[in-house]
Amino acid sequence: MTRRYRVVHRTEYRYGAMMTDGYSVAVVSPRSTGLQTVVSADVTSDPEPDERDERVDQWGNHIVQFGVHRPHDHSTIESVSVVEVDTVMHPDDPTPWEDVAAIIAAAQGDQAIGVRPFASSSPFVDVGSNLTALRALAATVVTADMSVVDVARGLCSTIFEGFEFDPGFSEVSTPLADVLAERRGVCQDFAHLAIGALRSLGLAARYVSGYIETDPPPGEERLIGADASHAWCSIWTPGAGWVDFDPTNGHLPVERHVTVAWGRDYADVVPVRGVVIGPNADQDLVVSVDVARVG
Amino acid sequence: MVMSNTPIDALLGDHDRLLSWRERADRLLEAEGAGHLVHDLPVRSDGRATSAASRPWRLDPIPITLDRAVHEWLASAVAERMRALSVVLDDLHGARTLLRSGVVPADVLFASGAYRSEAVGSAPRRWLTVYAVDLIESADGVWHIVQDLTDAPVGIGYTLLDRSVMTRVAPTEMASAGVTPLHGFADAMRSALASCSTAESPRIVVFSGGLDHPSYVEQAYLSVQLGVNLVEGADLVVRQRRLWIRTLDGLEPVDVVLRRLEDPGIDPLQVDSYGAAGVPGLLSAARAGGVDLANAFGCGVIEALGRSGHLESAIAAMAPIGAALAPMPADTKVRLFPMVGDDGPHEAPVVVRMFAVDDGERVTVLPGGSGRVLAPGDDPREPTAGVAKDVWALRVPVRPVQRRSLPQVDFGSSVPTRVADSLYWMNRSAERAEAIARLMRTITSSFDQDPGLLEADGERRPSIAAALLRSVTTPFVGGEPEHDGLADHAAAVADATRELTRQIGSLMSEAITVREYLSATGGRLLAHLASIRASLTHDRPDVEQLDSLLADFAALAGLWNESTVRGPAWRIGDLGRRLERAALTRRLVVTGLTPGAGEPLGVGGPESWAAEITLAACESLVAYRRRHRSEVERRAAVAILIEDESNPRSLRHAITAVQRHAAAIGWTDGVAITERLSGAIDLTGVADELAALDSSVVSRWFSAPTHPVPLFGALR
Repeated sequence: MTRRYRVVHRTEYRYGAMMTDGYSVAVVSPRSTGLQTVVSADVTSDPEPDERDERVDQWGNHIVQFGVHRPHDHSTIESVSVVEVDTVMHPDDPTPWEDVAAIIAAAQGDQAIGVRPFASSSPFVDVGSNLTALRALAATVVTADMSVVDVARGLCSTIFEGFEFDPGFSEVSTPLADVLAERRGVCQDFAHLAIGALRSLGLAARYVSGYIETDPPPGEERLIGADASHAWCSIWTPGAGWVDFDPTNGHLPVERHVTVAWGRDYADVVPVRGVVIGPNADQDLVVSVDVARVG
Repeated sequence: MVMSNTPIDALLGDHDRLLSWRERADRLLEAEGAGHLVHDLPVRSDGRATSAASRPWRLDPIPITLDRAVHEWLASAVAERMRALSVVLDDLHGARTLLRSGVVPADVLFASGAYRSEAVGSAPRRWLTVYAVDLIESADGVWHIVQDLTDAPVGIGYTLLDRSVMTRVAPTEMASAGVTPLHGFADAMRSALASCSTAESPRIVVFSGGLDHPSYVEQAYLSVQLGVNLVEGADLVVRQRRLWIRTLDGLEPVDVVLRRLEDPGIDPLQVDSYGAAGVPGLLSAARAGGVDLANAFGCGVIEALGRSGHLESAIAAMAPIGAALAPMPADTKVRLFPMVGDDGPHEAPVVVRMFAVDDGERVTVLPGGSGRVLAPGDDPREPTAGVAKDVWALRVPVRPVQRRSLPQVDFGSSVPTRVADSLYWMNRSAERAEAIARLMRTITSSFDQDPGLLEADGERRPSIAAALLRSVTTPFVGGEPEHDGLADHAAAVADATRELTRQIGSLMSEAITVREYLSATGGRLLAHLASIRASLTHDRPDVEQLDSLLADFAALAGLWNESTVRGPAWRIGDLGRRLERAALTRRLVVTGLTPGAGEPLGVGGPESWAAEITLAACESLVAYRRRHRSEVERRAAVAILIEDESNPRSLRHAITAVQRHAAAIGWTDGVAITERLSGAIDLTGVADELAALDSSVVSRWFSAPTHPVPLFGALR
């Protein structure tokens, strides 16, 4: 079933003083995927930027960089897009996860470049120093010869059931160890956790940023993360390719999700980051996301 | 490959002579700044505290010698390796055959943190322009690789500095040994840097981490040797995909950046950056070809591959080298080199760092290097001993460098704003410190000569002395006056001593960041000032210490006036000095001469004592005596300190100088305010006008904040 969405994502900073310069990098423009077609996408900045630079990063994500070089006390970046999304309702790959790990370790050619970067530590997913805890988490669901998709499915529900969604808990840079110890976090923490657990098994998992449909279809629950940027993850399988799942909502497959970008973890796809130059002042941040089904 | 130590052998028995060489080297290094980056420098004018971690190092005077054959073999191996590493870098960021074949496992590479996202797919004109490599010699004379330095290789500046010291310590011995000189290397390096750019006459800068960076001394020394600006992040700005340097006259374009900061620290907009470090947009500019980085962004990945053990196989796969330098097998016995020890000669292992630059056609290897002595248990990658050795390549023919035309950047007229800021505060601090020292000296010597003055007239004189001291130290320090004159004086002297120490520190920390604008002799003075500053631990410095300080300040002012090119940099610095002098003279006059109180001052009483102290503290007592043979009169004393244009210490003289500078640099506020002061000076009103001049200078040139602050993360 193809759904068509109109997405509006606004990120607004208000500064407690006039800034002389502002630079931002936005990863807020949805990308086309095997299941998603971008009909239109537009990213704007207010104040009108003095400089605008666009490029595609190493993962194929669309990056926009803005420079505002005159006094300003706010910065709003708005992304408006229309996308069409399909879902594979029953993704499956019966390959046992041990075999998948072996395939990844031996991967050559394009497969080595496509998969192996997602099988190791990254800035927010330090597999090495959390190896024992991550493997322990994985061990609660993984059995010998379990299919690779079932491993993801099991982890997805374990995290959904065993960890508390707590928007007050997490900073963007919460270390995995804290999330593991406190058993709570926000969407990017749960994504990092699932990714870390899979990588600790030698599997490849990537971080996906995007949105969830704001208003649920009749008779369905409103999902966590529907009013803001959301994050979930994707596991690599030799048969079914990348299979997305959302540990924050306990969903595999993802159905009401719009993909913006992916990378090894949050650091690769921070929706809006940057620096301002000016006096020391407060920064107020308001983010709003609206994902409406259209046509 | 046994090295010939013949020129050294004769020396080894002469321990006393070697010790004297080492002492001389210590002093010379200190004068160059290696020693005077003390650890407790205070807060700078922009509020940043300096925590200069640059530890003084010591030069062991026994060099390591490489005879011609050994050096030529090493040089060709180093050059070949540098080229091979460029091929590896090109592949890692482009075709990625090393990743496809698994020679470099992608998971290891990505987990290293050194494979920079923005570098993937980039195609800089040249990856490696500057290269350093650490080598170690085994006991059987085979040279091995310890590590490659490709990101922001450290050490060329140290090596040139150590060599300049050795050349002064042992010129005769070096000449007879046939030591190959290094001075052509700066030309080769400049030429290699210029060749990064397609610009006809490219402007080069050294991008430094600033005073807080551990190798700041080296960065400063290297920029002087190259004859290019030393800049920090705050000096640079990216506009329209080009890099510019902020100067007093606006933005000037930069073509090539020799970056002394590592990959993650050069642009805060990159993925996984160091927060706010670097120049926002620098990588966009580099990607667009608007500026060339030496080395290119991403070169740090080589060092990570070296650590993970995948580098040699990557080289073998991409660019096999004939006579290769191999990594050292674990249990290799290394060669020990003779050392001058404190308790007599001994031997220690030494890592030798060699350097090379690539101008696109040819790799030039420095005919020498830098030895770093290993302490027991040291990782050869990071020696802890802090002892260096000069490396002498003997009788190596040096190829003349084809000089490229570079823009004639006139340091007199092209002044980065931050430099002007530092020069302004450096001169203010110098003037303030000098005034405090001279006043303390005058008071101390008066009481030393006649201790009876302390208690005479109900301790009136110590009270006056305390008030005078507070007039030159407030508003920074100074408590409430005490009732008891002697106690009040003691407290004021202690405060003034602390303030003096603070001002000298401030002067030094500003001066260190603008070395290329100061005379080369300045280093010696700063080193000497640092040592006196360190001795000012007591609450009451003695006359001898103060005299010594005053001599240093006079020398510093002399260098400033006689050896600094007249241009905006000099004018901005001189403005600081004149404004400070005007403010201090006014305060001393108001406090010590109480103008308008009416004549006479009396003879031999506390008031005439105060008048003499004030004149002396303003360095004008001699001038007064030349004109007035009588006892000091209030009106005449005020006149010589305030309105007397011919007295360089007078308020009027200072204002006239400010006016001249204002006109020369087009500072309209300055011209307007000083014109208002052309009539008779009102000692109350002039204080506001001086403050207005100061805040106008600061807001016109220095107040725009230039340090980036990261935005909050936006995912939630």
